Amino acid sequence: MNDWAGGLSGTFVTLDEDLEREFEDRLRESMTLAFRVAYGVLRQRQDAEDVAQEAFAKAYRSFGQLRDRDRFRAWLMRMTWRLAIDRWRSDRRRTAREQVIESAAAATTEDVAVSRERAERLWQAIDALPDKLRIVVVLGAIEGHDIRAMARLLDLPEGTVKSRLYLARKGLAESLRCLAPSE
Amino acid sequence: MSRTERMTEFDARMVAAAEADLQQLLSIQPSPEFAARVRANIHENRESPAKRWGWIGLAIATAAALVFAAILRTDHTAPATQKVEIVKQPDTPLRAAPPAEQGSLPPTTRTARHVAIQKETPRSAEAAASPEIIIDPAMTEAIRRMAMSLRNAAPDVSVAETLQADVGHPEALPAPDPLDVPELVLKPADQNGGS
Repeated sequence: MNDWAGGLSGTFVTLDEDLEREFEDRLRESMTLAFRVAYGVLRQRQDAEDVAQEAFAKAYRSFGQLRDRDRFRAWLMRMTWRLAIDRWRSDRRRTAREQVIESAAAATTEDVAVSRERAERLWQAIDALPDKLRIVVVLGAIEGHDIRAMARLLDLPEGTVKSRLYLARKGLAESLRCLAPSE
Repeated sequence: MSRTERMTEFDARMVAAAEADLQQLLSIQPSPEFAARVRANIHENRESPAKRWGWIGLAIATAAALVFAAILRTDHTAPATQKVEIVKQPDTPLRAAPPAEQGSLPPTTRTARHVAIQKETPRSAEAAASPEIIIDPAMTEAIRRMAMSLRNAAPDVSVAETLQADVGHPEALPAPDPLDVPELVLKPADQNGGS
């Protein structure tokens, strides 16, 4: 009886430890992706980290169903995107003026490298896109995701991703033309 | 620009430059503390179920204790002899009532199955159902003596007349015949046995 109980508790401990180890692996390989996806929407390091952290906490709670590597990455990316969009919308609704001041103050080294004005125009053009087109532009710019990788992450057919990317590029071109400074 | 219209070469170059800029903007790395914060947050999440189960356990234990106390209290207050017996009786159709007086309820027929719940009554209640009649022996003797005296006395006619006058009946009461009660004579018993 004691042997049986000991063996059972040992099994639970092993299962827990396995899950922990697997989750740690997923965390390590998806941390940057989640952060960048959130940053692509929020453009604030702290906010992006908060959102990515929240997404990881949710992922941990459902890790039993998300053990598959590809599934976990896709789920995490979509969850992070959704959380980031929600926060971005609520921030924008709350104080549009404050956000302008904050985004100007929070210029990163990457912004400086690109040139602040160009970066501002680019973000504005991206924000003007509908959500489903915006995500393909952002994902395409992160870690060099190709159409196939984006289709896996978004759980969409490749043809759909391809057409969305085309429409996104056209919308981006239009917005950038309008935003371009007159010479 | 419509959906089907092709992008110009200028637009394509502009978009390519924008994508390159975006790639550069998104090559940002999370802070070194980010991973530690995520792990700490997950650690908190891991502890919270234990806390939650602790509270649930406490609530269940409290509820169980309350139920147990209620059961104990009920056992103490209920009479020891109380027994509930369910007796099923056949339906008793009621006959139509005699012509009812004006304003009384219409006659009804009882058709529902009558289920009586009889409770065993305590001993004091049983005693109340069949009371014991206790008569003082002295009072018994007095009653007996009064009956004997009335038996020997002649009835008083004047009392009847007085009653008649009080009631106001026109016809006169017939005068009762005097009772002829032979006097009790005690004779000595026959020595030969009455033969």
